[in-house]
Amino acid sequence: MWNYEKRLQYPINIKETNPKLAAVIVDQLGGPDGELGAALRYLSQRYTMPYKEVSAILTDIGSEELGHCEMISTLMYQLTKGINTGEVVDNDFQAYYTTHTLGVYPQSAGGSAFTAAYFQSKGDPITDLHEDLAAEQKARVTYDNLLRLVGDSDVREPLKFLRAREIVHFQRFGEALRIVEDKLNSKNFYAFNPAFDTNGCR
Amino acid sequence: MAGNMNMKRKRDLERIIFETGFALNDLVLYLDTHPDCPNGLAAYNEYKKAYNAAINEYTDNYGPMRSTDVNTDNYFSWVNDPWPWEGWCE
Repeated sequence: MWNYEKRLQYPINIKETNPKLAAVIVDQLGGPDGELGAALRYLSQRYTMPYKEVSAILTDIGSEELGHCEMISTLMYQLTKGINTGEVVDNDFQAYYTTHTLGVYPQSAGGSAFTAAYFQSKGDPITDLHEDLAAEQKARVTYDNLLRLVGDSDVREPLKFLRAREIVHFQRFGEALRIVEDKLNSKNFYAFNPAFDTNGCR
Repeated sequence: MAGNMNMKRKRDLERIIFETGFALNDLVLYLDTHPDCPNGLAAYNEYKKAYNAAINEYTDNYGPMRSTDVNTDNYFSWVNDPWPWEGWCE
C-alpha cells in the first residue's frame, strides 16, 4: 500500500519557460529509459525475488522512481506553464502541443507513447538485476545528454540530482546482485532459478 | 500459549489497520470533494486516531510497516520477511 507525500523529492522552481526543453525532457518520463518504465520494472520484479534484502531494494527504489516521475512531470509543467500560441509554433514543442496541449503525457522525445515493452520482468533474479543495472546506466546517459542541452540552472540542478540517483541505484543493484550470487553456487550461478526451481518458500 | 496470544494480537492489529486504513482512504476521497463537511471531518479524526494507535502498537511489537519507522538499533528490520505479497506462512 502506498501513501502520497505532498512534496517533491528535490525542489523545482523554474522562472523561465522553455517548451523546446520540455519536448526532450519528456523522454525521461515516458521514453525507453525513463522513470515510469523504471518504477514499473522494479515494482513488477519484486514479487518473485526470493531474497528479502533484494525485495526491499526493489520496493524502495521502485517507490523512489514514482517520485522521479513526479519531478520530470513538474519540469514539463513548469517549462510550459502559461506559454502562448506564438511560443508553441516557434519551436519544437508544436507536435506535442497538437496532441496534448499542455497536458503531461508519458511519451518519448520522438513522440512514441509509453509502452511496457520498454522493460522486462523475467522472473529470474540474476537476469532481472542485470536488466536493472543496465536501465540505470541508460537513464544516466539520457540525463547526460539532456544536461548538454540545458543552460538554465533552475532546470540543471534537478536533472543533476536525478542523474546522481541513477548512479546510487546502480551501486545498490550491484550490491543486490552480489547478495543473490552469494546464495548461489559460485561454480555455476545458473544451475537453477531460485525464483522457480524451488517450492516458493524463502 | 504466549506465542499464540502474541500471534492473535498481531492478526487483530492487522485487521484494525486494514479496516481503519481503508476507512481513511475512502474518507480522503470523500473529503477531497467535500472539504468543509463536518461529519466527514469528524469521522476522519476518529479513524485517524485509531489507525495511528494500531500502527504504533504494531510497529513497536511486530516491526515496521513504513521504512521510516524502524526502531531497531542493530539491524534494519525493514528488510525482514514476510513481504505483504507473500501471504501467510503458518
